[in-house]
Amino acid sequence: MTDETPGAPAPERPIHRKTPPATPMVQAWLDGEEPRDHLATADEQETAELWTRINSEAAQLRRRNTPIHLQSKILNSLTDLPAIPDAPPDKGFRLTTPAAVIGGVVIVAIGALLGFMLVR
Amino acid sequence: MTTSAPTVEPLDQADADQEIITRVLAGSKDAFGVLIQRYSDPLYRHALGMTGSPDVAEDILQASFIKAYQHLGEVRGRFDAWVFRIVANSCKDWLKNIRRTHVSYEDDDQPSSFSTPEEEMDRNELRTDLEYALARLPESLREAFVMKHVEGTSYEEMAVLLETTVGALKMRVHRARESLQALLEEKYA
Repeated sequence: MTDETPGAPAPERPIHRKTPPATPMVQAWLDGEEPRDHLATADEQETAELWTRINSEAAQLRRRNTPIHLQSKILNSLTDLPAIPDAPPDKGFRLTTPAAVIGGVVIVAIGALLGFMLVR
Repeated sequence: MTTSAPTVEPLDQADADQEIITRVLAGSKDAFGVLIQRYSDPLYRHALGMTGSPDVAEDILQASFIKAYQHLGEVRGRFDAWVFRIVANSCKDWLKNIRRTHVSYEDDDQPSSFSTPEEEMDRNELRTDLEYALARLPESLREAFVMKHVEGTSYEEMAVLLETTVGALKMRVHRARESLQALLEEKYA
C-alpha cells in the first residue's frame, strides 16, 4: 500500500488476500450479534484473530480525551452573545405603494362610472 | 453521551441541555461551558478519528463549538445530535479540501498501558498502519467505521446522528472492514 497516494480511496481491483474476506458470520460477530465460538471454520478464526488485534488498537483510540486546555480556549473565544433567531415574517396584508396607487385609480374609476350613470 | 460517541440519551438529558441553552440565550455565556464539557470528548474523538491529526481535531472542535454558540437559537431537537452534525460536516469538508500526506499521532500524551517496550512498539506500529489504512477509505466508510469501532457507537445511534438507516450503515461498516482487512492483512495476518 506504500505505492498509493495517501488519502486516496482504496482502489477497486482484485486483491491477492492472505486472509479470507470476512464472512457474514464474522461480520455478525464484529457487530456483536454472534459469539466468537460460532465461527466454525479455520478461515473465520484466522480473520477473527486479525480483527481482535485491530479492535484492540481501536479501543486505545477510544480512550483519548480532549486536551485539557481546549475547553477553556473555546469558552474564552466566545465573544458575542449567540444570535437569537429572527421572528417569523408577518404573513398578514401589507399595503405597498403600487397597490395603493392601483387601488386609488380603481376607486376613482368606480366613482366616475357611478356619477356618469346618475347624471344619465 | 458519556464515555465515547454521542449515545441515545434519556429525555431528561435532552431537557437538561435545553435548559442550559435557554440560560445561554438569556445572556449566560458561562453556561455554554457545561455543554462544552459534556460533549467535547466524544466530538474530539470523532474529529481525531476522521482526520488523524490532533491539531486539526482541535481546530475543528473549536470552530464547531463557536458555530454552535452563534447559532444556538436555531437548535431544534437534541443538542448533541445537532452539534455532532456540525463537527461531522466540518471533518468531511476538511477531508475534501486537504490531501493528507502523513498521519500523525506524535502528540499522543496518553499514558501507556503496554507491558513491555517491545509490545508498545508493535502496537504503535499497528496504530499507525490502522490510521494510514483508514485515511485511504472513502469518507462515508471511514466515518461509519470510526463511529462503530473507535467510538463504540451503536448502529441505532449512528442512524440518528447521521440521519440514515441501520441497514445502510451496516453496509458501510462491512465494506470498510473488507477494505481495511485487505490493506492490513499483508503485514499483520
